[in-house]
Amino acid sequence: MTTYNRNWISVTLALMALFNTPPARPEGQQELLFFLSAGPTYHEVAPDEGPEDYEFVLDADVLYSYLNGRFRLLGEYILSTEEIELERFKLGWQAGEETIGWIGRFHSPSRYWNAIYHHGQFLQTSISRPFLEQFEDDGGVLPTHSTGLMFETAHKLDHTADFRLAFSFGAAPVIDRTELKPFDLLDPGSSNRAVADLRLAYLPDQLEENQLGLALSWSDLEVDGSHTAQQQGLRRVEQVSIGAYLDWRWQEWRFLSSLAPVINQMKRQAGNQTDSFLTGYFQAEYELKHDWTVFGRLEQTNNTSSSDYLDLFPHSVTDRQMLGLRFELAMQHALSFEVSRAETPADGDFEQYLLQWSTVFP
Amino acid sequence: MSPSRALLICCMGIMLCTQAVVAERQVVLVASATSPLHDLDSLELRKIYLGFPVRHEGHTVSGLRNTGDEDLNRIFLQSVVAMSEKSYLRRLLSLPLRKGIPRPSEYARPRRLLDALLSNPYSVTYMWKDTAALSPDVKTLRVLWQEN
Repeated sequence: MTTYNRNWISVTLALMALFNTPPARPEGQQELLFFLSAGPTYHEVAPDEGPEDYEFVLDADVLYSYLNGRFRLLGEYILSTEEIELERFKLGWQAGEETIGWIGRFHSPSRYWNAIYHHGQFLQTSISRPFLEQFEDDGGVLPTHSTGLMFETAHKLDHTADFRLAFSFGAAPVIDRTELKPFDLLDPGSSNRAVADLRLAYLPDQLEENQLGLALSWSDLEVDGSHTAQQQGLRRVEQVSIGAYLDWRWQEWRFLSSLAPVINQMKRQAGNQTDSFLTGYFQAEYELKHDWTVFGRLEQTNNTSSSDYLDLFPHSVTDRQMLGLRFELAMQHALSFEVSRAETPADGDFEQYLLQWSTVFP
Repeated sequence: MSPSRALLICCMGIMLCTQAVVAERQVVLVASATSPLHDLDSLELRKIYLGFPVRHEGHTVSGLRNTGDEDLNRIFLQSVVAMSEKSYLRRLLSLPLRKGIPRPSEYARPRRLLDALLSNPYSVTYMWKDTAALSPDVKTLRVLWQEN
C-alpha cells in the first residue's frame, strides 16, 4: 500500500511538471520547483574497515506551493538514489500580517540550517551538512521532522529590526534499527511519541537575512527495533537540546554557526541514566570574483566515546574539518567540490571527497 | 550656407533632441486605472517584491515583474530591491522553499503584463513612463527612477 502511494505521488508530480504553467489567476497562485543535484562521493573508511567506499548520488526535490488569500499549501517530495519520501506536506493559514499557523509534516524549526535550506541543495553552499543539522536518514541523531502543528510570528522592534518566533508540537521520530525514523504520513506508525521545538531569532533588519537566535528542542523518542538499544535495556529516550546559532553576512563573507548541548534521559528497564554531549559547527564562506565561492567548516562533538545515546548511531559523522569550492554558472547551476577529514564513533577518522552539480528549474 | 555647415547644424539638432528624449526617461510604478491603490512607499514596495505580505483594505498587494526589457530589469534590481540579480534570484527561490509562497509572476510580453495587471486591482508593476502614458487602462502611482 505504501509503495503504491509513493508511486501514485511520483506519477502525479510528473504529470504536474508536464502541465506546469505560470501562475496568472489573481485569486490563487501556484508554483512547482525542481531542485536537482548529482555527483560522486568517495570516502576511505578506516583501513581496518576494508576497501574504499564509492557511490553516486542523484537527488530530485520536487516542491509545490499554493497561495490563495490567507491559505497556503506546501508539499515537498524527494526522489533519490537513496530514498523516496514525502518530506513536507503542510497547510497554512495566515492569521495576521506576521502570523501564520501550519498543520502537517514539516522540518523542525529548532534546526536553523534545515529551516533555510530544506532540500534545496542548489541554495546551500556546501555539499555536506553539519552533524547537528543532519536529516534522520543521513545519520542525524536529533529529530529534524515533526508532524503536527506549527506557529510562526514576528514582532517588530523598531523601523527595521524584528524578533521572530517559530514553535511546533507534534509526533516525534522513533529509534529504528539503525537510525531515527520520523512519522511518515504515507505509512503512519503507532509508537511515535511527542516532540516540541522552538526557535527565537533576532534580525537587525527584517528585510535582510542576518540573524542570531536560540533554538530549543524537547523530544520523547520510543525505541522501535534498535538492536543496540534492546541490548542496553533501553525503552525510550527523553532528549533536550538548547542551542544558539548565528547566520551573518559581512561584505563578501558569510558565517554560519551553531552550538548545542544535548541531554538524554535514557529510560531503561533497570532505571534511568543521564547522558549528554556538546556539538557545534562553524562554517565560513567567502565569495571570490567571477562566481567562485571558497568555504570551510569545522565541526566538533565531545563525549562521543562515553555517550550511550551516540552508541545507537555508530556510523554518524560527529567531527569534520572541511574545505570546499563552488562555481556558479548560468545563474541557476553550480558545481561544488569538498574535501573533508571526517570522524565517526565506529570508524575513526577518514578522508571524504565529494563532487556535485546542482541546479533548480524553472 | 555650405553643405558641411548645414550637416553640422543637423547633427547638433539631432544630438540635442536625443538628449531631451533621454532626459525624460523615467520608470514609474503603475496599477490598473480602477485600482484603489494610491501610493506605496519604498519600504512597502521592497517588501512586496521580496515576498513579505503588504495588505491594503484587507487585500494582499502583489507585485508583477516586467522582465521584457533588460534596462528596465536592471533599474528594478537597483532601485526597488537593491540587490544583484544573483542575490535576488536566491531570495525569490527561498520564498516557495521556506514560506510556501510562489515567486512574483514574471511577464516578458507587455500585453500579458497588462492583462495580469488589469485582472487584479491589488497588483502593481513598473514600466517606462512613455509606455504607461500610452495605456489609458493604467495609472501612475509614483516615479521609481529618473535618468539624470
